[in-house]
Amino acid sequence: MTKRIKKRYLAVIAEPRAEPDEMMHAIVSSYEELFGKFGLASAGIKLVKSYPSKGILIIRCFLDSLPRLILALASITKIGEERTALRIISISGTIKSLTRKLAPLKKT
Amino acid sequence: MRAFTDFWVKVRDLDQASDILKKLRELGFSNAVIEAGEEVLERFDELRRIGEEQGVKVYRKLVLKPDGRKSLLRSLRSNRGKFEIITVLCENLETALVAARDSRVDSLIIPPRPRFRFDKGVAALLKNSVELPFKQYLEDKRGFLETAMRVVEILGKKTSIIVSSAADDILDLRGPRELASMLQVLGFSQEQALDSVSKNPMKIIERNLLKLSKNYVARGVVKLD
Repeated sequence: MTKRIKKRYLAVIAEPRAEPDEMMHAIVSSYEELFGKFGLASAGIKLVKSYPSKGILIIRCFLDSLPRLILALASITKIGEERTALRIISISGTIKSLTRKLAPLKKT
Repeated sequence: MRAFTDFWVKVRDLDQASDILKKLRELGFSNAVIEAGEEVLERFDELRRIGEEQGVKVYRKLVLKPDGRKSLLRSLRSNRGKFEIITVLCENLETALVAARDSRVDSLIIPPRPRFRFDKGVAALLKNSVELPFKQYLEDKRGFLETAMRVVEILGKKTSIIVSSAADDILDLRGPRELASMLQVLGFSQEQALDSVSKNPMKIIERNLLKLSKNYVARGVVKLD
């Protein structure tokens, strides 16, 4: 029986606010710059959901590559021409619990 | 629960300090070691008060960039009693060797692509912690990672490693888990990596607060009230 790969879901926000598509592009580019195409392919990074009005992004990755993804997020200093910092709001094992943690943020 | 410490934050003035401390709190830090200009140092009690309001304890830091042994020893002699933390930026081997074994130094920083070779010889003398400033990584990723890998490989087993943000701007600040991820990627376990932003810096601060207190007599001797 094949073992199920554990995943983690991250809620990310840009400071100052940026478009989710641009944020995702910056994350993928940063990961690829640091760990290469092979690393990117084996990290299982995927955009799960975005809230354009709040500038929040939910992305998924495999548990093994979580520290690498966090470093890639922290390495981003620019989106387009604008200086930016990406902040991780929360990390969770399921989308359900992550959205529950984000609920107070979505209300404001 | 861990109390996280940013071991190096640069502050220009009190207005900026308030924003930085607020952001540090948001990111999850409860302690910050601040390198400040003379103007802020004169009003450091005010900065402490602002920190307390935001829920962040603030400590003073001095970063020395000496040319050689003599200037390092002179600076240490005149400043040790004034700052909670003293860090030495080692730009040559002579400075690195002195900073590595002097107990008045709290941490040393080896810049990316140093012009000297640090090996087991430096590791054998090393008594102090090694600091990895995240800002240097943001400025020169490849150079920083090359040096950080060698630091972790050669010095990591011998001494504790601290990761700090070295930020002088809100956008350069990073959360504790983001700072710790650097060491995780370089091969540390999650616990060890988180210690680099919590236990390791706090141990140094507590030791120095005791040394700077009135009750401190000598190493291992404290006056009891």
